[in-house]
Amino acid sequence: MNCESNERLLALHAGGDLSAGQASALSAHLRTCEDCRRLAADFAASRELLGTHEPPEFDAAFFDAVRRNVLREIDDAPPPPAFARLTALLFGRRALALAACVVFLFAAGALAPYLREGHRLTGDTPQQVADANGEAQQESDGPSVIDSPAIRDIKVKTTPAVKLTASSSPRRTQIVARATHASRAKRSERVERPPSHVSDRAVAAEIARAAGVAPTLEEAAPASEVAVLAAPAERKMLRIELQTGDPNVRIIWLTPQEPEKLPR
Amino acid sequence: MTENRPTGEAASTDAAAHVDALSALVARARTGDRAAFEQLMVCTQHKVAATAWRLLGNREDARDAAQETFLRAYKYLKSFKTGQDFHGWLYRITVNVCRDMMRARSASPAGSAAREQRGGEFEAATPWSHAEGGDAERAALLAQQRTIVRRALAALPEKERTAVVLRDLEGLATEEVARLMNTRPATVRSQISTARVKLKVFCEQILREKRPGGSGL
Repeated sequence: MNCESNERLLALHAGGDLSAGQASALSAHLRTCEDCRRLAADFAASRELLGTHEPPEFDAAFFDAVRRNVLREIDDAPPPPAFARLTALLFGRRALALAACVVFLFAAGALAPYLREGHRLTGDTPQQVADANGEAQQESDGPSVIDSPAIRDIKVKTTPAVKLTASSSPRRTQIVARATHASRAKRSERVERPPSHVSDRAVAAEIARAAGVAPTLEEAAPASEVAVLAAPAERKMLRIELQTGDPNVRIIWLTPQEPEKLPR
Repeated sequence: MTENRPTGEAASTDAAAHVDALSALVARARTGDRAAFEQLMVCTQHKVAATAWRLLGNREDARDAAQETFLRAYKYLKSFKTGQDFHGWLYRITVNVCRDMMRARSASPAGSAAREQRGGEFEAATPWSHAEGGDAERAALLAQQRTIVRRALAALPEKERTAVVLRDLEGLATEEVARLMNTRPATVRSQISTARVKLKVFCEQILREKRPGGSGL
């Protein structure tokens, strides 16, 4: 046994904190080692000294002061708000948590159909929405919204500032973002941008390949204005546009949609 | 606290009666009965104050800790589960309050120094009930030893100090200390070992002083 490393063991041994095996091994060593025996005696003495650290006898005045101060602080503490008291009275914490869960589940259940089928937000079928959008766009300018086999365009609200249009033809696929009033800089911010490492033309080519047509880009539309809307040709896509109160912010949600769930 | 201690079955009967009485007081205090809470304080104040004093080392801090302990107990009394050990629950609050105070004290060195000085003066003037024995010299020696132990404990880091006080002075098992300190028993053993080595170094100073004269421990 290494005497130099015994100090910590002896410290534990003094308080009976060693395992039976360690204690017996150390006891055997102590029988033969004078230095370790002296060290163990020192630990025993310091432990005995530590035992003198006993509290004084607190008098009645000490405890009277403690109780008086506690009760005064309790009395001085401001009462909880009336609403909190009422809710605490009517509902415990568990009841409150249960009620919150019920409300959440009810809200989730009520919103679930709308989240699953975006067209219910407007109360129209996607076709009706697309038709309405197409009419509105034809009245202003630019191409109309055409129902694409790969992409469905549902606009909850359209604005004259920016029109995002998806079109499909036998010869080519075009996805054009055309701004009528906004400046070119602002327009580029509003258009969905592909990752920087993917070139616009490569994206357009992929879209065209998905649609099974020749990969051509409309000449009038700069490459930077081409939006990325790639999707498998077999799966129909549901696209929801939400125009926020800020005319510069539009939320576009593109999600795969099961064919049987899309009303024709 | 000076009454004769019953033994055997009588002791267990008394303990059960005490627990029942305490449970009844807790139930009444939970409904806002002030008198019941005051009675609860009377029943537990000695233990709370003694534990606080052992951990903090002076009477003034012990009083502050006792007050804070009872305030927290009152605040969280509604969360106390019926059938739970009230003494254990209160003991845990006491240890937590004292640890908070130790941390706050070590965080402000100026306050620590002032308290140390004030505490030292206060404790020097405090009569010790079981330090008499009629022998003035022995009483003086005991007072000196206590002062050194108190300073030695005060010099320990908060965790080591808590561990050694709870294990060696409060007599808790290592596992119980670990549970109170939210740590592992192995960590507590390490802290206790380190603390005992440090305390020994402090105490050796006294031993060296007393051995030549033959009036050592």
